[in-house]
Amino acid sequence: MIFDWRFALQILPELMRALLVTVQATLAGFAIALVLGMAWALLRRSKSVTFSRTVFWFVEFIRSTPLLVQVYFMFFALPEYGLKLSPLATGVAALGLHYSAYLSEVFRAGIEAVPRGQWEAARALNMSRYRTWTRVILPQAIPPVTPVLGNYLIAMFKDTPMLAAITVMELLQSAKLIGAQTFRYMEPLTLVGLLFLLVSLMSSFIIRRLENKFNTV
Amino acid sequence: MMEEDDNLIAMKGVWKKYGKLEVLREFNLMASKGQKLVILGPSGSGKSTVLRILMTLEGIDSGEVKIDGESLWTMNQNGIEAAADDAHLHRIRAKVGMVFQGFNLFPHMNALRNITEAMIHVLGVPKSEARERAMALLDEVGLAGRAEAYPWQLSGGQRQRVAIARALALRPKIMLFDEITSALDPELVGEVLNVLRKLARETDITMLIVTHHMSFAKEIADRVVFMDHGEILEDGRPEDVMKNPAHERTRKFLGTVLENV
Repeated sequence: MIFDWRFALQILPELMRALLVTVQATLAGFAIALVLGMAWALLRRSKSVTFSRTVFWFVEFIRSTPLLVQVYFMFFALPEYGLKLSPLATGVAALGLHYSAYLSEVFRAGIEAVPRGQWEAARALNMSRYRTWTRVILPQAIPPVTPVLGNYLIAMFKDTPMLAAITVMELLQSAKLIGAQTFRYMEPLTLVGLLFLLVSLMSSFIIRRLENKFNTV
Repeated sequence: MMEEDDNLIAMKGVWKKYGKLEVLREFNLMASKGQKLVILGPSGSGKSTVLRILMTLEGIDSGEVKIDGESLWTMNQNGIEAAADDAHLHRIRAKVGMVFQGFNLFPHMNALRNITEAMIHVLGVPKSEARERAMALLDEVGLAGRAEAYPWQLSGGQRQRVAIARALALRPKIMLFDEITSALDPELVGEVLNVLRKLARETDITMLIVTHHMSFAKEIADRVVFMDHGEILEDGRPEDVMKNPAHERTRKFLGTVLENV
């Protein structure tokens, strides 16, 4: 079997459409992961020990169970309890939830790296808790961890093929479908690999630029 | 009661422990309005803890702390003593400002914003007025030209002067200075102490200063307190405490410090 360039070119538009879905799922999932991850990180600092422990174990649970299991669970088990979402929405929610567990650790590290003196200065200036977080702590906690966040973005992007398991028309699913219809797998799967490589490289490049920017300040 | 109300600061029978270590033991300290009080003592004597308690950076284990006649950690709620809430602490904290050994400037804000931040968002001063007041304060501490500079672009002495301006911007009645020259290169100490001198001379702010600079203490203080092991051993006019200390421990401390000068 030889690689058929004409066939590859022919299926490229369809794969590009799938790539768009993949990128959209990644970005939406990442947005959810950012919000939830920050929420976990903040909730874990709660003064109530029971509460912060509960959050800790919840996050630990999400982090320590496979994404694919979570995707299946949300797609097949949750509708039994009346929560029915489209495959794409389910996939995005699962990606977001799963990665929020990792991002909460990243945020936690960033927050803990802010010197104690910053908290004390904020208190000495009589700043409210809200303002202390939004004006003093988070602006110092987040920039240094941006490259790490970026790496998780790429990791999440590479995890989107999991959504093929629940029929989301992302890259892998699209390639499988083309394969099933034409009995040619070589070209679509190769293209999928190349497209992943291309987007990942571009993202890495952007992240490295960010990294350099924050290292110089 | 009357006597107590005259005191801007009243710490009575305060105990403070870190685990088993007793940092303050049955500690008493009164300070009246406008007083320039220097606290001396070896490291670990509890000097900084006193300031940190007054700034509500540390709680206490027992005893009573009053600022301007109001209890710090408790409040009167319909005649019943209750634990202080955020609003209560906020109101009392507004009377106190603090300058730290490590400056603790906000690194992501320039000098001007470091000063205006709390003015605008805590006191509610309009932006343009806050800016004006901040510029005047920067001028006071000799940094009129450095308003746009970020902390990393400033020398240690300049940073500490910005920190002083930042605390002053909130117009506190009490200013706490916690070894504010200890992190500075020797040649930068003078410019910071000069700002304190001016402040002591020209304002009626009550100042509590923890320092190791004996000659400066003698010059600026109207009262000196010597602490060791969480207790006050000497309390009096600077010349009395330094020339005729009552305790052997004070003599020893003054001896070692003076030798180092």
